Formats: sequence, C-alpha cells, structure tokens
Amino acid sequence: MVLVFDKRNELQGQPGLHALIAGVSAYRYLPKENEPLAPENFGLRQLSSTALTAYKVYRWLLDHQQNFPVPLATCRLLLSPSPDEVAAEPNLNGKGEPCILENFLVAADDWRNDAGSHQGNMTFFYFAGHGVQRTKDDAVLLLEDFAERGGGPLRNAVDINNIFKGMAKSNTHPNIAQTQLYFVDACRDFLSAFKNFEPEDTTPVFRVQLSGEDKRTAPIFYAAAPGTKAIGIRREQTLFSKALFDCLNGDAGELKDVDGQERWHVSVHSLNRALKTKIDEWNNTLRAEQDFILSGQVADMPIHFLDRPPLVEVVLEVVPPDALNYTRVKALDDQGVPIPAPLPVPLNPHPYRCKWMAGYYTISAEIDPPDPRFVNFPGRARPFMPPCTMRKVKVIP
Amino acid sequence: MSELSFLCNFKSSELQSLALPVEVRKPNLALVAQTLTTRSVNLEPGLYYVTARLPAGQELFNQVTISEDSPSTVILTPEPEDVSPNESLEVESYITGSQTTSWTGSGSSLEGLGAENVTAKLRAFSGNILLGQLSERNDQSWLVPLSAPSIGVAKFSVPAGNVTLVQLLQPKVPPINMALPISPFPPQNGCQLVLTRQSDGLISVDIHLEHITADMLLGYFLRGLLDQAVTITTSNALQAEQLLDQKLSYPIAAAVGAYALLRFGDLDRLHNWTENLNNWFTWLPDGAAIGGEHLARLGKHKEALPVFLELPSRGLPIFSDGLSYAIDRLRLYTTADNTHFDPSALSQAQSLLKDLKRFIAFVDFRKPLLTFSGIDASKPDDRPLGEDIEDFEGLDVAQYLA
Repeated sequence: MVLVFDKRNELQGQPGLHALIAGVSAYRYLPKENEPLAPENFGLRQLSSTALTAYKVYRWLLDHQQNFPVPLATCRLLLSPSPDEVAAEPNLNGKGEPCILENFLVAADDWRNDAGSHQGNMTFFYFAGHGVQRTKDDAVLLLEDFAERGGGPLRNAVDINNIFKGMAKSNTHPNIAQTQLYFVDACRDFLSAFKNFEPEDTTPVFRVQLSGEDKRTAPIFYAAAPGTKAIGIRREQTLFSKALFDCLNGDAGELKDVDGQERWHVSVHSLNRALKTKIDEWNNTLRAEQDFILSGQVADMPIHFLDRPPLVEVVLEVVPPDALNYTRVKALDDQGVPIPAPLPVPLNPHPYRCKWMAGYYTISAEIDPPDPRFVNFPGRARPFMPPCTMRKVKVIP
Repeated sequence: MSELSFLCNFKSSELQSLALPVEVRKPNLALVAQTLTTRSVNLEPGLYYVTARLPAGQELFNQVTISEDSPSTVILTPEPEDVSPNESLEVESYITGSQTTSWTGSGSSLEGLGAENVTAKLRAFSGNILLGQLSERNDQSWLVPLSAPSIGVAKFSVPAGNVTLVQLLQPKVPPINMALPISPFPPQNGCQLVLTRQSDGLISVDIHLEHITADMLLGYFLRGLLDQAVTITTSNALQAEQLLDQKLSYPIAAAVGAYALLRFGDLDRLHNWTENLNNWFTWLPDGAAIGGEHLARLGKHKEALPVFLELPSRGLPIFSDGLSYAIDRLRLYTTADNTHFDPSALSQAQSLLKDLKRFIAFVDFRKPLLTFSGIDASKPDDRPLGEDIEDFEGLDVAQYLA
C-alpha cells in the first residue's frame, strides 16, 4: 500500500501536510555494487542507502507529525530497497510500494489531489535515488525500472520541473497547497550519455496546465549542486539526509514571532543557512565533497516547530595557542550567571568544543599567572546561534 | 516605545552611507526587527542585541538598552580581529569579499622549488552569441588595470561598452566564458574583474557589479544569507524608481533586484518593474527573461512567450537565472497544453530552445553570472586546453599577478 499514513477523516477538511516520499536503491536493470557495467547502464549501479533514507524520512515525519504548521494528513511511500538495507532495517520489508513508474504516477496524482483540497495545505516531497540534471531548476529522477528495454532511455524517469510546475495553482486544482517543500536527494550530473536526449524523453508526471497565478512558497532543496554528485553512506543513509535531520531537529532553529507567539522553529531561510554549515561538517567527517543548492520560490516561512531551544555547538579557540596554558576562559549567560559546566583550564582539547543552549553569552579570559606577552580578554556578549558558533579568545595586545 | 537608530563604525564614507541589513534581537535570541541601518525601529524598553552581517561574512555588533520615550542610536562595530587594515580596503574586505590576499606560499612552512609559473590569458568578445555574431576584441582598451591589494591578486575595471563575454584561458583546463554585467552605453554600469591565484595554481575570476548594493545582494545570495537578501531588496538603492530612472539608470542592478524578487515569489513588488526594464533597455537580454518569467508567474502565458522570444535579438542572458527561466518556460510552452499559442510563435520557441540548450550542459549554475566552458563560446564544450597557450591572443595576466 502506497498510502501508509492517512488522517484525512480526522482532520475533517482542515488543512494538513501531504507527503510523497520515494527512495530507490534496487534498480532492476542496473548492475550491483561489484558487477561489471554495460554500455546501457549509463555508468550507474544499484545503490544501498537511498531507500533506507526515504524510510528514515518517513519515520521522522511520523515522529514529528504535530510539529508542522499543519498536522500530518497523508503520507505516500514508494520504496525500492536493496537486500542489504532490508537486513539493516527489517521494517523496510513490504513497506510502501516499489518505486516503479506506474506506482509513482498514481501516487503523485493522488498526492496532488490531496494537496488541492485546501490552499492552507502543505506538501512535502522527498526523493532519494539516482538523478541527472539539465538546468538549474530541474533534475531527472530515475525510478526503479529505469533502463528497462524498450522506449526511450528516460521513459522510467521523471522530471522534478514537471512535478514542480504541475503542482502550481491551475483550473483543475485552484485550491492547491500554497506551501510546498521539495527535497531532491540525488546526483545532478550531466551524464555524457544523456547529452543527446531531449528532456521530453522523461515521462510526464502531470499534464501541466498553463493557467493560474503562481505565488507559492515552494523551495526546492537539491542535495547536489548542478553538475555534481550526491553522496550516500552505504547501508545507512545519505549525507544530505543526515544534515537535513540535524537541521530540522534544531540546528536550523530560529526564535521569531509566529502568529503572536515567540516560537523556536525551522524556516525556509534558516534551513538554507544551516544546511550549508551542516553539509560542510558532514563533508569534513566523511571526507566527501558534496554541495547543496536552494532553488524554486523561496519566500520565508516556518516549516517545523521545535519543542525546546536548540543546542549550539560552541568552538572556543585561544589566540595565540602559546597562551593556552595561561588563559582561564569564563562564560556567563545572558543573566550574568556562569554556565553550569565550567570550562576546563586550560581548554583541552583545543580548540575546545562543547554544546550550550542557544542564547547570548559573555566570554572573557584572564591571564593566570600574568605573563607580559599576553593580556586579559575583556568580556563581550555575543549571540550563540545554531548550528555552530566559533569564538576566538584573543589574548595578544 | 522608543526609536532606535543605527550607525556603522566604518572609516570610509562610501560604507558609512550604505544601507546594511540589520537584526535586532532580545537576550533570549528572539528576533524583533529586521531592517536596514539607514532606517530606525521602534522598540519596547529593554536590552537588545544588534547585528549587521556583511556580505563578506563578518558581523558588526553591539548591544543597547532602550529606555521609555528616549530615542537611542547604537554604533555597530566589527569584531577587533575583523577590522579592515585601512580605509581603502574596506569595500574589498567587507562588501565584495574579494580576496585581498591569495595563496602565495608565504606564511606556510612549504616552499615552491623553481620559478612560479603563472600562465593565463584573458580575452573579450563583442556581439550577440545567439545570432552567431560574436567577435573577438583585438584591443585591450576594454579593461583598465587597478592597483592590486596583494601579490597573486589582480583587479581590473571594465567600463561600460561593447563587450559581452570575457574568456579566461589556462593550460590544461577548459576555457571559461563569463557574461559581463555591463551596459553598452557609458558612462555608468561597468564592472570589476578580480583575478586570484589559488592554492592549486589556477586562477579564479570574481566579477563585481558597479552598483554596490546590487553586488551586496548577489553576495548575500551566494552565502545563503536569504534574510539579509530579502531585507536589502527593500533598500532605496534597489527600488525600481531609482534604478530605472531614465537619466541615471542602473538596469543591471534592476535585473539583480528583479531576479531576487522572482526567487522570493514577491510578485506584488515587481508590478511595472519588469515591463519597464524590458521595454526601456532593449539591449538587455535579462529584461526579456525577467519579463517573460514574471508574466508566466502571473499566469499570463500567452503574453509571456513573445517576451521570451525577444532573446535572440538581444543575446544570452547575463545571469544564469535568466537562462534557466527561459529554458524551463520554453520547454513547458513547447510541450505542454500549447493550444494557447500561435503556431509561428511556437516554432520560434522551439528554435530558441534548441539554441539555448547548447549551453546547458556547460553552464556553472552555481555562479550568478552566466559562466560556461568552451574555447569557442558559441559552441560550448568542456575540452581542456593543451599545455601551451602562447598562440592564443589575449591579455597575458601573469604580469598583473606577480
């Protein structure tokens, strides 16, 4: 069953979030990890992290279903997991439907119909799998039956641009959701093998109508910049999804007034800002070189509310390092109260990393015992915002 | 409520008069105002923290206590470690973010053995690439060397004039073509080229608009600072009335502002902006791309197509967003429910789409200015040059990087 979550009856016509999540690892017509490539494979093999990623996104949505501006109403899930992923996560077995073209087209059509029930609806689209790219605002998403014999090579592939434009307000869907989130967790390579194929070779998901004013908030978060690859951690999940979860769980937190109430939340803009930082962090950890790009229509608005103020990764560095053994660093919160866990003297390891609640802190440092080469660092209150704040404690005159 | 004003502690008058995006927060980090440093805000009494983030990444900061019915001014200063070494470098340090230093090996424990071998050439082209009228400039009067901030960095001013593309040639890498954001009609609307030698020995090119606020807007986009980008689009310097004034117009800055509003979906603020940009500056390809996209967003597809079809007579858009919008819409109009359109217009659309698609695979869409590879700009490809580029015409830039 594609529709794995359905609360439409409970919501009784009230706006809700409608999700379509697809993840493909087991590409039927592509070789496995260690099998030889044939010319008709276009240099692509089966994957082992993308279906599991899509499942984790689905689980995350369920776990946070009340934290969106509107409650989760429906979730459609298309999964083509590899045997390794099923071994790692047995719940994948039989969950959703295989992400083949036929299933995708039906699921997308139903998803659009649900999205079209109220302008106050939100939509959430996530695709993890192979992708190729043609322009800044599009990506071709390759489905499980990609590279099947017969027809054009992109017959079992869909174009995000067609999906995006088909989700605009139209005569047939005049009340479609005006907040739409798209996450494309796939490569955006220009495969030389595809250079000679027309984009029309993909199968249209929607018959796009040329009508209607388009004032949606509809950001497209691409896991890979144009012409680059997205990275997956085998039998685990993609790098992009790791960064995305970090951000949605607090690292993209922002405190602003929402409907007359100060609320910690993640917004389109704060997510964009934090994703850059988190993807760079994961790149460093995994020695990867993934980029990320935001496209689409990117007005700011809350997309996920947080239950509590987020933690901030704090990095404190004494400059110059020679002064480290003489430098006693202190931190006070915005009330002038020392932080609960005092900083070690000297800061060890250096640079020193810790996690504090987001807020303003005053950092100062005293040279102890006094040394003529160094000076005290006067206290300065500074914002410590997620995901990470680095402060240099400069103790040279 | 009391009024809070802002003052930036810059040395140069150029920066002091600039409108910078500023955030005002409560001690619990709650954002209470996003505005420009040239404006004031009204706040309840209390303690506030004020931050202005600069396009190059630094922050100006201060805290202020607001008293009842007593106006205040907060002076925003950079962190001591970020202070620009001198007034003349403030724009580079804080706004354009162009590097004032490059990788030269100095300060490193490593040294290069043998002579430093920088080989690169810069050449310029005039004419409309879509009409096959591109021609190489045989003179070097199109650019003026400026004093470089450090070794390994070269700066040039490119005055408004008849240059559409600049090409950077380096051994063993594909040539890079960049659209120049300049007007064919002097005096205003020139740009600045900054060449920087990288740690791998290759030279990178940054292009900055003459209009500093529009350049800041591009900088905020590049760094993912969308809140700041939204705020700066409200500055007086980026209003259509100012930018499209017939006597002292800045159509390229207007295009940057219009692209931003399209990205933010702020169609209400675009009202006549795009129509005037398109009608008054018929040399500007981006006027057609922006005007067409705006009409399409309004659901006026029948009117949008003829506007996109003005591109062949104007040339390739200067900004990559323009190329992307044009291709996406033309693709849609030539494949979707196309009973709306005149058959001859559709035929022209198919022909234009074919022309534009030649460039797609070779465009670096991460760059706001249209950037693509290929020794023959009208037939882009990604073939690297050989080791020896001496036979190519063009300005040898090594002398400026030494």
